[in-house]
Amino acid sequence: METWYVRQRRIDVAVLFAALSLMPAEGIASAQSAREATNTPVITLPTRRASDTPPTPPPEVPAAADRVLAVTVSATVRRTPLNGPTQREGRTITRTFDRVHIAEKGHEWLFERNIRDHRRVSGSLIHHDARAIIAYEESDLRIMLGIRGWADVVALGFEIDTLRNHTRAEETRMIDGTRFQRYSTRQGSWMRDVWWNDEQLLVGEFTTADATGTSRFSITRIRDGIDATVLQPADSRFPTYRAFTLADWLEHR
Amino acid sequence: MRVRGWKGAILTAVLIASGGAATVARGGFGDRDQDARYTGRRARNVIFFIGDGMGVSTVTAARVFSVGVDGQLVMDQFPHTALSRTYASDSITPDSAPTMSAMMTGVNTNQSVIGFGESTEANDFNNDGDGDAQWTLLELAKRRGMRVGAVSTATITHATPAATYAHINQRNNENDIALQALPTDGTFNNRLGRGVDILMGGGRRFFVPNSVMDEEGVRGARTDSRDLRSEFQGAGYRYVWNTAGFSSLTPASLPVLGLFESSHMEYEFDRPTDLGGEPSLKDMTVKAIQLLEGASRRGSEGYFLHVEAGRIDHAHHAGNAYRAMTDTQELDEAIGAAAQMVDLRDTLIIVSADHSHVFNIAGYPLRPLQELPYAVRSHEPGYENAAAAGHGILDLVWDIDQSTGHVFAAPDRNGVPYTVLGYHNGPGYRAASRVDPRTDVFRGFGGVVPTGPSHPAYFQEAAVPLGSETHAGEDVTIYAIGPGADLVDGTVKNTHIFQVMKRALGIH
Repeated sequence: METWYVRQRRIDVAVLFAALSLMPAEGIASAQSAREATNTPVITLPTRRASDTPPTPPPEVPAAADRVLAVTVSATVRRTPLNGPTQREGRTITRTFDRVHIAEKGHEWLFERNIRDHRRVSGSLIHHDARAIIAYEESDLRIMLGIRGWADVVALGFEIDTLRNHTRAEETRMIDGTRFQRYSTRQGSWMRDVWWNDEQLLVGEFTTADATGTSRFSITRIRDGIDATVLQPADSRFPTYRAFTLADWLEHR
Repeated sequence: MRVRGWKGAILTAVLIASGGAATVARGGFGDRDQDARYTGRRARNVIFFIGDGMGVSTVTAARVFSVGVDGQLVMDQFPHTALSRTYASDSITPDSAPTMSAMMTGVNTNQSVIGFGESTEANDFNNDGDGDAQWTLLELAKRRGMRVGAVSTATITHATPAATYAHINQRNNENDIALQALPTDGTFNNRLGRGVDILMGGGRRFFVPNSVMDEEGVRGARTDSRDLRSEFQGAGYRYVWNTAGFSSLTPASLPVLGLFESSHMEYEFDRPTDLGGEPSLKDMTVKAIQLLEGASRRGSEGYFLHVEAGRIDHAHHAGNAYRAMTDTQELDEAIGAAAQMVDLRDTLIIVSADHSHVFNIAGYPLRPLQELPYAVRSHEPGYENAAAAGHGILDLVWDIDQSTGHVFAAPDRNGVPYTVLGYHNGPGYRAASRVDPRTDVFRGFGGVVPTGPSHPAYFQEAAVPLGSETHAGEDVTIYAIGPGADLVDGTVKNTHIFQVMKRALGIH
């Protein structure tokens, strides 16, 4: 049985519908707008910490970099942790004035000098197990590998400007006809003995040390001439490999 | 317009009278998307910010880093917040493709899938077709005559911005995604009308043939020999690639294609080193609003703008908290600029994230010396500099002996200090070789470089050794201000964001 209360509710709802159907939506909105206008919070822009000094521009490239000979280099990297056995890796490096290719176990690197700004470099990692090519932009190389520019790449990972802190010694060493001069520094430096050829911008050997152990890079063989195919763009050599940016490779599963 | 407003009011009244019956959706929680409570003022414009990978811990750490532990970011000041559940249809912890799809279409989907529903699997590995493409909010806005734009510091074809305008079963096919935005291509997404009005970000490589070096000397990635830069221009777009071209843009320039980097744009910290010069995320946001507002004044029906800080995620994947912090700070700058530019009575601003990261704020770190409410009796050297290390967030965990008032670097059980920020997994795994972070080094191609926990090159420690740090599955925050923002509350699936934006705009 319908009570007075239920009947009255129905009338109320009917009146509400009728009123709403006669009221323009903009009218409702404008009433709300007036209310919201007073409630709109004021956004305060915060005072933030001062910005840090941005990364330095890529280092200048010595003029000799344009004159380096096309060579194929065999090198060894030895890593000796404080606790544990020495790990040894071989590398075959192909170097011209504008490209460096490094073949390691399971993967290859191809670095290309930037054609607009010769201080800059980009790279590709060819990951054979994953059948993937990962593009490293300039800042990827700096952040992930500590490569600041072409100067670091053409010198095969040796930072040429660190020689400023070294003293040139009389001692020299020959590797396949290339003469390397010894540079030394005081004890305690993280970069120890360096064997360096200034004309070809080649490092015959250098050792770094830190709290966790030492790493030594040394050239074992230098050959004139190169296999030019390894300097071709990675996607033309391996067209079936999937291409990634570094960021997407890191997210790839 | 008036008719639509009346119908909306009647529908709203009916639903209120019927009690706003909430239904239980798949997943077992009250589906807020069926709860049509919204009776507020309609939004003319919507700006949707995404911090890619910006989980709660990232926002907290960025707040401490940027404005101090008791400061307020711009997003902190938004009056409406909610927790957003981010799972994909096939995964507890999602990637950016299904999450942005969910937020842009209101429909959940699977890992790597953009713009389709959950019957679509990545790469169509069941070979059963993709099903129907879902309508995105950007497409709906375009159909309504609104101006639309997508801005990102990632590639503009990356999963998050792509989910506003593309439909594809594999997010990594960025060469194909670029074609879906090109009005003259056969695969163009016709729902975009004459095209997206603003596309700005990185990813030039997907518009340049792999036989060609681009404006900044980097090789393209297209294998079909097509140069989409010229094809977009042929379709009426104004193409810019550096800050000079960017600065020259006016509302008359629309539609605009801005590709400022071959790959993703630079991290905010690294941006000054860019060869061609790049605008910041804030610069792009301000410019996009200026262009869209300018065009809207000339008669269109408001605008929808998506802005993504895409590289917070990348910095986390690399295990580098510093850049995650600075890019989050830049996102907050962009949000602040937007909030100051627009009329918050007619513009809804939503800020959220697509997913979180396994990023932790650990230990019981003491606040920096200058922020303490009391004087300490003594401290180890270095604590006095904690304030400079992002208000202490990028420092060691400093602790205080409550008996003596002495501040010391809190040690692990081997007596070695540890940092406030860290990751559950990733490349920062040290194992037995972990050392005092103050003497830690960055081991690069050119040898080792001394760093420290506040150094931009520092990679925070990780507990599990992985080549890349991973996403995390916990909820993320939604922040909202403006018309319709009151619909943002409670704990909701991320699909709710689509419903909020749609209702605020009065799109049916």
